[in-house]
Amino acid sequence: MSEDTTTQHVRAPAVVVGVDGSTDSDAALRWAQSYAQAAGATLQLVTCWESPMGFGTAYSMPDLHPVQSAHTVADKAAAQLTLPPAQVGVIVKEGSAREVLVEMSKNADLLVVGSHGHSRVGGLLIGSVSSYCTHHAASPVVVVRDGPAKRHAGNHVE
Amino acid sequence: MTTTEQTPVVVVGVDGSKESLAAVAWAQRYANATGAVLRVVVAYLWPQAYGYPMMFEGFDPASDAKGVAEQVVSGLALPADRIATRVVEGPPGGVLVADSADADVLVVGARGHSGIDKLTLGSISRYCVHHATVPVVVVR
Repeated sequence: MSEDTTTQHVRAPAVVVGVDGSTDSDAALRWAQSYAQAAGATLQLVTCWESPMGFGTAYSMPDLHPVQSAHTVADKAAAQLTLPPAQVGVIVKEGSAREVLVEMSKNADLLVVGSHGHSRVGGLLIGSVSSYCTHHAASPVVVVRDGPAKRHAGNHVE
Repeated sequence: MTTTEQTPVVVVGVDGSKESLAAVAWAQRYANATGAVLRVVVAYLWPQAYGYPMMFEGFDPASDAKGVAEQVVSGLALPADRIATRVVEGPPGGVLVADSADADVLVVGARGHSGIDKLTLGSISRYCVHHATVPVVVVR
């Protein structure tokens, strides 16, 4: 395991990864974990939720529990990681994913997102959240697609 | 260290702009952290008129591209066997997507030479994010 000694970090680099339970976000999470291992970075998993709105007012439905669902998604993602727990944070936040992730990128060294969320329709080349992040993030952004791993996709650790 | 078939490869697209140098710096740190080979790729196009390449005296984009690649490589702090360069004729987006297909990650600057302040994401980085088959890092 090599330390990233070529940069002048006083603290460990901070990686933020958007998590929504989609296959692309799982791929993003695996990539982010490999990077965090190689660079000695901390990893923040971020899952966002919003109340469904109707006529300007939030409404509720009997089987709809956005906060709980978001926590389930985030916890399931965190459980897949093999990083030491001290290196991992899980954040579940109310708000639009694109805005929350861009806001968090202001205090991060890297933002990692899946190319699409649950929206793979009609040959869309990229999802709206990843697109927004690549345009507006304050930090470098990594866009990861689900698919067969080329070789060992960054798992190589010295 | 010796590089093998299993050594990861980081491709970084370079056009000589300041932003692309930031991409090189990021890619170099990544290559250092992961033991990867850093492949510097510069694409160039001959301007065309009516389907024929235009030849101007003293104008040689191929040689300019090679110069950009050499300048980038001379600034790298990696052992020689962990550096590769490719200078390729073709549209930059297409070249980078094709070249990175056998690599592990593609790194590009958010913008190139466009110099338009309001432009948040350049056309090449956008193209790469849309079409690459490997993870793409947009560096700003």
